[in-house]
Formats: sequence, structure tokens, C-alpha cells
Amino acid sequence: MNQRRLLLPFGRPFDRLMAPSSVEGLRAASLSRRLCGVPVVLAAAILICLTHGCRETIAGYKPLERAARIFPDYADCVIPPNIAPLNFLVKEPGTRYAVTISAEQGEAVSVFSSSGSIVIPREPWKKLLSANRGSKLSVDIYVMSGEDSWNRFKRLTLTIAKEEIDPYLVYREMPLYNLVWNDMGVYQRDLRNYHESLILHNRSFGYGCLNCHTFLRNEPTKMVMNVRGPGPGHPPGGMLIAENGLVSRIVDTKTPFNAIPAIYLAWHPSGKAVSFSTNKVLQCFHTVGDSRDVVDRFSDVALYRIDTNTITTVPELSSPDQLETYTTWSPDGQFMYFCSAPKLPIERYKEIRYDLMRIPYDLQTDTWGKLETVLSAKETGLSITLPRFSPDGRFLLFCMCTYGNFPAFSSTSDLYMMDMRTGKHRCLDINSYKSEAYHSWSSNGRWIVFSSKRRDGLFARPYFSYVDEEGKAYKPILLPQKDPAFYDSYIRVYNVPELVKEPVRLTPRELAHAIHAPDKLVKAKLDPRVKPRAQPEALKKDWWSRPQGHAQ
Amino acid sequence: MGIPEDRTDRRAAYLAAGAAAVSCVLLYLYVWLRVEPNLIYQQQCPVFLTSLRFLKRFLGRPGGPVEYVSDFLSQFTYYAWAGALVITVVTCLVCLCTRGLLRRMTDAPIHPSVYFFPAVLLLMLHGRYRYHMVTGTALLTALVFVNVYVRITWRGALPRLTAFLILSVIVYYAVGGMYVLYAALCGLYELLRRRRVVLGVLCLACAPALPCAFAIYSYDISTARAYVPLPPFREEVGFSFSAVPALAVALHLVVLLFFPSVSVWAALRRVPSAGAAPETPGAASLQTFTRRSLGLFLLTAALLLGASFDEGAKRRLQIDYYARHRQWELVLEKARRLPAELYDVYVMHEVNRALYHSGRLLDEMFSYPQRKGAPSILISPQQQSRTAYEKFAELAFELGHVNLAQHWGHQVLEFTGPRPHVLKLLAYTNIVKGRLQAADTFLGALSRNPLQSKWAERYRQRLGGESLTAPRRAQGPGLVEGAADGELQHLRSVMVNEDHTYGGLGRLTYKEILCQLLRGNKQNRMAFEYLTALYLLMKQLDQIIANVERLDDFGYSGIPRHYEEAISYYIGTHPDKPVDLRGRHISKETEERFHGFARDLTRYRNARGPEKQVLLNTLIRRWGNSYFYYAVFGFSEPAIGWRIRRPDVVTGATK
Repeated sequence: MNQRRLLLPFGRPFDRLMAPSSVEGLRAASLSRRLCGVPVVLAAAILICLTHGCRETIAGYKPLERAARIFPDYADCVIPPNIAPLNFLVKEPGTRYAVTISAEQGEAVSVFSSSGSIVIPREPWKKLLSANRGSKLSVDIYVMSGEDSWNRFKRLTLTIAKEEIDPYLVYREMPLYNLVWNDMGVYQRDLRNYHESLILHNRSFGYGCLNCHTFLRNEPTKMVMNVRGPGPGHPPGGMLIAENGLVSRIVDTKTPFNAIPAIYLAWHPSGKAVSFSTNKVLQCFHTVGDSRDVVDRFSDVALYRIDTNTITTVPELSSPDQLETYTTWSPDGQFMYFCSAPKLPIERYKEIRYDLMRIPYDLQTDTWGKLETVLSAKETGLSITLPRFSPDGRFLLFCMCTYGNFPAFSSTSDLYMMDMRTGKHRCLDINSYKSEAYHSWSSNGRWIVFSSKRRDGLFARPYFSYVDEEGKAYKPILLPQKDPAFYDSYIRVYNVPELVKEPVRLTPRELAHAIHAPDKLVKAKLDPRVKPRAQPEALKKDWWSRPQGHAQ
Repeated sequence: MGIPEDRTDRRAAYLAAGAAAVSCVLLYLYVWLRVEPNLIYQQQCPVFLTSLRFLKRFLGRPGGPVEYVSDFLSQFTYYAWAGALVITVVTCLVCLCTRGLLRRMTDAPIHPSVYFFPAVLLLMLHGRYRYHMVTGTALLTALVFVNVYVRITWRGALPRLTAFLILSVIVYYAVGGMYVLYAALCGLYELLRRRRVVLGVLCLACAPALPCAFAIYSYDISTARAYVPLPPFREEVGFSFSAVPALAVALHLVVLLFFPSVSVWAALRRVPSAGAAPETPGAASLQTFTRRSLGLFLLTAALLLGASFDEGAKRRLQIDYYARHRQWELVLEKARRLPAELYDVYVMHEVNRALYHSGRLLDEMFSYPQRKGAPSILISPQQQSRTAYEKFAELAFELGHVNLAQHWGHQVLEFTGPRPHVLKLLAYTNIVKGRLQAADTFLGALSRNPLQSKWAERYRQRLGGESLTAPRRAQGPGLVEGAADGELQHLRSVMVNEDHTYGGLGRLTYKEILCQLLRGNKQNRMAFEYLTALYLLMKQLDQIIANVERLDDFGYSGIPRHYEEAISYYIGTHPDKPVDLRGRHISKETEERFHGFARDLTRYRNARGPEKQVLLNTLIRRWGNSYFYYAVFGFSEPAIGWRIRRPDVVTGATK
């Protein structure tokens, strides 16, 4: 008898199965034929599940009157139509979870999960949002309890805005206490998906500091950023100006007038100048409560003209008795707005409150007008910081806190909006009990992004809020992540979030090369009309170098 | 009558296998029981997280992959037996790769002791406690690739060069600076074994050139960093306590130079000629261990390991380890056996902590070396190290100075990354401050650590799910539900409650830290005892006297021993000044002891010549552990020669 060896998938020969003359052999042969099909069927099932999803269904459920606890909380939010899927966690006890996302148009998206982690598939989400701009989005959450029965929570409703948000967010990412500049970088994130890429990391120039990136009208082709070398033996850095895909120059902004280089930067709307403040910043620590504070010992405002490589200022912007900081421009470029406070003895730092000022400026003639107070701290009882105009100039968004000019460290800091038509300001409804700080507008003026520590009072996260034509801001959404539990374990912070229309195309290497290139470094000249100033004692010590105790 | 050839071969094979097995077992036992890998974990506290983001940080740079793998393997050192297993496996694989390389370098027989010798060198390095797992892992990976290269059968120079270059890219990316070893060995192979001079020289030239070229091209890596982990110096390998760091550096260099040296030696060895009798016993013994050669090898290894082992470093690490695990008696036991030259402010810090936690600080602190200054790490300019920050942060937390603990804990976090004990500390500080959500975030980060995930998840559940998701306003202490940890409850009761700024706007002295705590809660025992210890060390006896009434706040039955000694000394040396002990009395015994000390001191001071030294020794033996001695000499010397000797500028000074 010929014995054929039939090798099943794991290589086991079934010799006796191939003896068809016996009844047992026939049965065994039949069984073996059936068994041969099992792996095939299994593979097919896996393939179908992967391609079409296991179409679990919910036969019946018990409706509940309350909404499910989810994180992030998206109920009643307005969301951009081009945002990445808003994955979230269902924080209800259960053994199985299901979410159905639906709208008037298009196919609903269903997600099942055994852990409460809801990861929404990208393409169906994208289609659903695109088809329903300006409409509502409904989210039904089901949780299976121990008795294998489903509970359906009260429906959550979101609104899909008609207007898109600028698709890229640029931010600095760093440790919470960034005391020795060990590891920080500027990154950009595509808001339509979860892709994050590096723009520049501080290891590229010896672990110096980089900060205060800002873009002209949300265009990545016009970027300015501060780069500070760590000390001797490393590139000194300066104000890095990148235009049209190239680093045009790195400006050493120290002059006989200001020993401190430019710190907080703002583009003039023409793109021909950059205003800045020079701040002698002191960080201090508290033994109770919020543990950190920042105080400016000195600060002045000046303007760097790119065309003439000149730094200029006027006494109204750089009074020795005042602390001037945080410049911004009206969209027509005719007024510079900034914050100013009387200089007090440093021990009275809790009494320092900034007014909002403005001064006319004519770029063509390089002349300044008369200084005006837009909003005084006396009037508000609070300190005004970080003014930013909406692109159409209708609204001015700013922060106010009980004292000082560093809202990121003040839990009292809130966002305010001033309607420039009426001059009235109001506190936005989207504030929390924690710090709301740095903010910027999208290019269409319908979205703002701001840093908030609302979740835990410690870690600054970017939130996006829709702003309608009347300046009303709607409930914000947190920067979405692929892993819904991302923020549960992320102990670094997002800093200085800026929206841009396209990605920054300069590569990290190009930027690093420019920082290291001696020919890119340009020493700014001081406007001959500005008198050099004797430097205060506190500035004579080189404070520019990296803090002590660094690890690298 | 000769032994049949096949039986000879079998015996040789059994002996070889047995020798290998014995060596491996001995190696394992040595690492486990002598080196104690859990001490390496304590020293280096390698960070490893299971998140994709953590992995990505390694993938974008040369050497990243091997660092990632070694950080993973380092987690096993948390358990001594598991760490020993990992180290043994890595070491054995290094020996295996060495054997593989040498077999290709020469046809002559190589005695096993040659390729077992790297194990001895690596164990010697481990015994110095200045060794990082990544060096061994990178070394192993480089040797694996060398073995791959030398086994490529392509004959032409150009194909071989191509293979070398392709592998070079892979190797440099995988192992970073250890690529130098790979290229050097490949070059030696080509030069000496295959007699290809040009190819060999090219390979050798690539050894230093490739990392350098990468550093020039990439702005992300400095020239020095491009060679990591080749160099022996890594800032993570403990704090500076080794009395002879140069020995560890020298050993490291010996390890690295061993492979090229032995490759050259092997390549230059002559193969026994065809005419020689192949069956002589001597020939067989060249290729395998005999009982004699094995014994000799093991003896040599034992001598080398014994001579190079840094017992002092081990004890220092044990002190640290037991302090971290709050095994205070063991801290004190190890400290008692620590040689004077290794006793510094870091040891003093832990000893005083141990004494406090076992209720004996003010009774026995001078039974251990002490010197003028704070009774702990202080973060003075001389103490700017991550170890100092860590210890200070932990102490600040125990004292109840939560914001200080948070500040320095974050500083350590910035230096070292998310080490488990730092994350725990920061979670605790936020719990005590009522910031449950922030604490949950730190615990969430901790849960990504494979060794801590269960603990972290359990603790997150203890914090309570509901209270974490509900919106919270800023809260003060005492409003935390669910955190049923007694120690945290206690800390909440002793927390600082008055604001004081420091940093850019002022200073916060050590004394003020403690006084602030006592103002907030006069029953903060730890603050009181540390303040008293500070006064004792700074010889501020008037403050000691003034604070006698505070003893009532803590329920002391009498006056702690050193406290009494200080009062007694003060009374004895200031007979004209009245002293109000608020109803307490100095014991007769202490008075008599003071008089006895005074007598011995007088005799010592009046003595001349050799007698002076004898009397000094008597003084030390009788009084070296008393406050009397400290008050006169400015340091305690509980045994002759056992005092803090190391220059403050190295170990840290206190201002």
C-alpha cells in the first residue's frame, strides 16, 4: 500500500489517514479534509474582520438620563471640519464599549472597544465631517455592564464649524521645569492627523535655548524665532529670521542701548520689521501654592527694521521708569500695542500690573506717534498681558491676571476679548480656574489656540476654540491624540502654540546649519537717534549663558 | 597503553563543556551574590518606558537602538538574580563572539582561557561600579557584526569593501561609538588574516573617521558624543565616590583594547606544522581546558576580581539602596563599616536620615562621622549634582517642605528623565497639595515603566476615579479623599503654610527652611531634630539652650543624649552664664562624663611628644562619639581615624 504523507499546516504527517481501505481511515480522511479547511476559513475570517471590521451590533440597550464621563470632554464643543479624529476615553465602568458617531449626511461611524479607549477610524471620520460642515455631530455612547446588557448614555452633541482651522500647529515642547535647557524643541503638528515633526531641537546648538517663534500672518515662510547659544564655545545665536524657505539672517540684537537681546517677538504686518521686548527675567520660587513666578527686572520695547538692520526705539517704549513688554501690531500695521507697568522695587512684584498701551508708527517715515492707554490696570484691577489681534482687526485677545506679566505661571490668568469697534472687553466664557495663557489666531480669524492648565493645574496643553463673528468663544477642544490616554501619562508641556497655514519646510538640519554658519550672524545697528544707555549693574554679569548644573 | 582517540575526544569535549558550564555558573553566582546587580539599578536607575514616544527618542540617533535595548535589559537588574542572569548571558555571548572571531583570525589552536578572558575583564568592570550596561550590549553587538563580516565569503576587495561599508552604516546606527571596535577588528582581519593591505587600512581608517564625519555632518551630536558609548565616562554612572576612578577608566580601556590585541596575537600565531605529531597531549591541551588549566584560569580570575573589586563603592551603594528602601538599620550597619576615605556628605546625609527614622538622631549622631555644616545635603554650589538634588528633594518632602521637594524633583526629572522614584515623589507632592489630576499624570507616566506599572495602577485606583475626572478648583491640604496613606496624611499636617520666595527674588537658607516648618507646625519632629542637629554642628549652643522648651512639644521623656552633652558643655564652658532649662535637668551621668572629658582633654593639651598622640587616641576612644569631642575639635571621630576627611570641594560643602 502506498502511503502518502499528508502534511497539515504544522507539518504533522497523518500517515494512517491515508489508508482508505479501512472504515476508520475513511472517517479519518473525511475529518482531515474538513480540518484542512479550518485554517483557510480562519484566515478568511481574519481578513474580513480586518477589512470590514467585526460588525458587532447592539441588539438592545437601556437609555440613561445622564451623559457619559469621557475624556477629553467634547460635549457641546465646536470642532473644525478638518480636525483629526477626536479619540477619547470613556470613563465609565464596563466590560465593553461602543460609540456611534453620526450626522445628517453620510455614514455613521461605529467603534467598539473592550477598554473604553475609543479610536475613531480616520477616513470615515474625515468624510463625515466634510459632509456636515455647519451641522451637528451626534455621539452615542454605549457601555456594557456586568449583566451583558448595554446602557446608552445621553447623546453628546458637537457642532462642526464651517470654517477650517489652519492645519498646522507649531509649539515648543519641553519639560515642565525647564531650568537647564536639557531637552526642548520646536515641533509642528498636522492637526488633520497625528503626525508631529521636528523643526529644531536645542541639541543642534549645544543645548541652548530656543523660544518665541512667531509667524507673519500664519505663513510658515515668514518665521522669526529666538535662538540662544549655551555659552562660550557654541554659536551665540540671536533672532533667527527665516523667509521663503531660507534662513536669511540671525541677528544679534544686543546694542549699546540694550544689553539684553530681543526676547518676545512680533512681526510688523508688512514683514519688514520685527518688534520685540528685551526683558531681564527673574524666575523665583514660592514655598507654598503655585511654586513658580516670573518677574521682569527691566524691560523695554524696540523695533528691528530688516531693511536697514537697525534697532530703534523711542522713550515712550523704553522708559527707565516703566516695564514695557509684549508687543503686537494692528493688522494694518499702523499701531503697535504693548503692555507697560510702572517699575517698582522688586520686593513689590505682586503690585506690578500692566496697562495696555498703543503707539502709532509709520513704517515709511519711521516715525512714532503719541502714546495712548487702551486699557489700564487701574480700571480693571488686573494686569494685562499678551495682546493679539484677530486677522481682521476686529478683536483683540489678551490675558489678565492678578499681577505680573507671566500668565503661564498664574492660575488667575484668564482670556479676555476686546471688541475694537466698541472698545469694550469681556472675560471669555471658556476660561477655567487654572491658567489660560499664550494664544494665537488662525488665519481666518475663526479659531484661537491657547495654552491652558485647566486639566491639572500643572501641565500646559493646547486648546482650540471657535470664535464667531461676534467674538463669542465656544467650548474648546484639547489637541487630539491618537492614543486617547496620551495625556494621562505625558509629563512635558506644550508652549507657545502658533497656528500656521502650511508646514514649516525648513529642515532641522538647515536651521542648525544656519545657526552654526558665521556668515548668517548679523550684528544689528543702533538707530543713531537712539542714545546708548549705561547698563544697570544687574546686567553687567553675563546672564546669557546656560544655567549651571546642566547635564550635557 | 594509549587511550583510544575517540575516547580522548569525548573526554576533551566533556571537559570543555563542563568548564564552560562551571565558568558560567561561577560567573552568575559572582555577579548575583558579590556584585549584586540591584545596586547597579540603584546607582543608575535606568529609565525605560513602554510607550512608542519613548522608543522614538532612540531611533533617531546613532547608538540609540543599543541604548534602548540596554535600558530594557537594565530593568532586570532591579532583581539581583535576574540582573545577574542578563549580565551572565551578555558576557557569555561576548566570549562566544570572541571565540568566533579568533577562530577566523587564525587556524592555530586557541586556548579557551583567551576567549573567556573578556568575561573576567567585564566582571572586573562590574566590580568597580562604574560600568554601564550599554557598554556591554554595544560591545556584544559590535562583535556579532564583526563575526558576520569575517564570515562573508566574498573574495574580491571591492565586494568586501561594499559589505564592510553597508555593515558600517548599520553598525554605527545600532551601536554608536562602539563602531570603532567593529571597524578596527574588520581592518585587522583584512590586514593580517587575508593580507589585503589597502582594504585593511581603509577599514582601520573608517574606525575613527565615520563617527567624526557624522558629528561634522550632524549638528545634533558633538564630536565627543559621536563616540559614545565607547568612552568610559558617563555621567550617569554614580556620583563621584570612587577613590581611584582612574582604575575603572583603565579597565575600560583594557576591555576595549583586548579584542584588537588578541586578534593581532592570534593572526600572528603560527599554525603547528603538518609534520608534528597531532596526537601529543600538549596539542590537545591548547584547544581545551584541562583540569589544571581550568583551575589556573579560575584562580587567576579570582585574584584579579578580588584585587579589583571596589568594596567601598559597594558599601556606599548599599547605604544608598537601603536608604531608598527605608531599611534604616542596614544603612547604619553598612555605614559603620565604611572606610573613612569614602565617608562624605552623601553618606552623612543618609546616616542622619536613618538615625532620625529610627529615633536616634539626637542620641547617636556623633557615633558616626559628622562635620561642621548642615546635617544633610544642602544644594550648595559645591553640591550641584543630580544625586544631591535627588537626596535633597526626598528629604525636603519628608520634612514637609513640599514645594521645595517639587522644585528639586523637577530639576532631577529634567536631568535624568522619568526615573520611577522621582515620578513617585512628584506624584506624592501633588497628592499632598491636593492636585489629584496632576498626581494621576505622574502615576500614569510611572505606569509606563514595566517594573512599576502595577504599583502605579493600583495607586491610581486608590486616588479614586470619580474625583479625578470631576472638575476641581484649587484646593488646600486636607481636602483629598481616598489617599489613605498615613505618611501623606502626616505630611499634610506638617506642610509649610507661609510663603517665602527664593531664587531670583531672595534666598532660603537651610535654617530658614527648618524654622519655617516649625512655625507652621511646632510638632514637626523631623524639622525640630534637624534644626537641633544643625545647631549642634554649627556649635550654636545658645540656640540649643533656647530651644529646650520645645522638647515638651515632642514628648521627650528626658533630654536626648547629645542635647544634654551640648548643654553640659555650655554650662561647663560658660560658668558665669545662667542657664534656664525650663524645669529639665542634666543627668548626673552626663555631668560626670563632661568632667571626665575635661580631664582627658586637659591631659592631652598639656602633653608633649609621643605621649600626646597616645592621649589623643585615648580621647578619641573614650569621647570621639560625644558632642564634647565635636565641640572642641569640630568633627566627630567615633573611632581612631574614622572621620570625614574628603575635601569638601569634591564631596560637597555646606555654607
